[in-house]
Amino acid sequence: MSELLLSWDGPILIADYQMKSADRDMGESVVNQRLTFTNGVPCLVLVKNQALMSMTKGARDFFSSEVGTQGIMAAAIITDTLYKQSLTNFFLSVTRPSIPTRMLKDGQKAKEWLLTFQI
Amino acid sequence: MATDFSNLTDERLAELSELLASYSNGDFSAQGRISENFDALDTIILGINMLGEEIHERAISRDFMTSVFKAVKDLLFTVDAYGLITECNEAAEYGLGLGKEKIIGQDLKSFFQFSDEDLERLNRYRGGQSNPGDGIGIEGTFNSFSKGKRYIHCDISSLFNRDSPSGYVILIRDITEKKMADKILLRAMVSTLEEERKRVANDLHDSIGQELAGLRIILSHMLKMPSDAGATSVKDKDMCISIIDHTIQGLRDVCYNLLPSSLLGGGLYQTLLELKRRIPKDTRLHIEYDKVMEVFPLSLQVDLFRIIQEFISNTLKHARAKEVHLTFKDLGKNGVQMSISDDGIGFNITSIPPPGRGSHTIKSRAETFNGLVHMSSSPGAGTTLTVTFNLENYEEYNTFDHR
Repeated sequence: MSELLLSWDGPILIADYQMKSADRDMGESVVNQRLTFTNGVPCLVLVKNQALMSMTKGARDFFSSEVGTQGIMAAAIITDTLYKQSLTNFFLSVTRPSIPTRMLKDGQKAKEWLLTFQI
Repeated sequence: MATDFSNLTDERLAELSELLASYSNGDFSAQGRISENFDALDTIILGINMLGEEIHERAISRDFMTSVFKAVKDLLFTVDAYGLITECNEAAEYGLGLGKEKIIGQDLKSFFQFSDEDLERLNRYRGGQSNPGDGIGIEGTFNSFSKGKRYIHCDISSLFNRDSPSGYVILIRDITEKKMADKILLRAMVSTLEEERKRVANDLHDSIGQELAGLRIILSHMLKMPSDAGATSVKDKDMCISIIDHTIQGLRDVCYNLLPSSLLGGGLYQTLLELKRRIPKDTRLHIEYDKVMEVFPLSLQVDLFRIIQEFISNTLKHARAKEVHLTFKDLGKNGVQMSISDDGIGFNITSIPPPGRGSHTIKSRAETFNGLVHMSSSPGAGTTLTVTFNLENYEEYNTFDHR
């Protein structure tokens, strides 16, 4: 099974993580998959964490770095449980991604927020 | 999202308690177990685990930086934007003879003295008129607890906390020995120059001056003589020519001692042959020459000649030597080596007072070409001087181009 499912919803790229946990190597792998899928064209990304339950520090640092956020104009992360909310909140407030990133519960609101970054 | 604590058990709470105890003991590598339920307790443990990872990395980084801070033998300070000391290392405490509690919070200028000019530069740097990434270097003095007045060099760089300037880091190096050595060298150079001037003045006065004065007397005498003086007049004229020849030779000697014309025209080897001719007959100079020397810049050849001249001058004055051997060796990639030795009375190299003027000049001349100087001597065993030059880009030293 692929670690990442990618699809377009209009101008927004939907990224659905399928792995339960992520380390740095996995982070590099999914970023490469994304860049291949988008041909490196900058885009808005909606992240759905259906399965991801843990991230190592290496993965958190990589996902928030310039390399890890390459080709992303803005990202919205959908969370549906307190547990994932805690994981995402830590990522956003401690590791601090280098692009505009927000955690939301509602997918529609997340898309609306992302579209404010559309050029 | 309602928080569900229904799955809590004594066992899981005990695990959480153990995890917190590990953190309290400074073991941030410990990780709590997360169940398959991903319930409220798992959420808390997840947060603690991630917190532990962050602290663990920062603790390693902090411990490493602390050990670097301690290992630095120079005086190291951090100061805030106002110049007040916020941290210092052990070397700083030792140097100032004060405990950290008496150093922290003090103005750096209360311990170290700087010139107005350097303080102005420092203010410009702090005022943001220089690129903060560049840092600056200033010199000053301070009174060391154990060594008295010391000369210092300060390297000052901006300190950043998450990209915002948060003060300065200041590394203070004791340069007293270097300053003293520089002073001695400068004094030796000035004294050498003065001696050279005195010697030229004496040469001009004693030989050329005397001879011209004698010539004047003879010419005055000839003018007063009757026109039919005959043989006496011829004798005086011969004497005048002889005096003029002597004067010309004297002038040549003076010029040779200033800078041998053969060095400019014929190179080092020709000059050494000329030197050999000028040495008194009871001391013989043997030269084993290597033509590799000719490719070196003229400035190096001049310095080498001066070193050889200095050595031979000392040999003639003090060593009572019969033979002097001069050799040049091409060391290939390792450069070139000049070695000169005499079979004189030698001296106890350890009992001679600090390097005399001659050896200072030899050393400073060699150092300008990255030369290594080694001198050996002992009573009855003669003296040997070896100078090794390792010139990778010797063209850059060609600052003496008279050709």
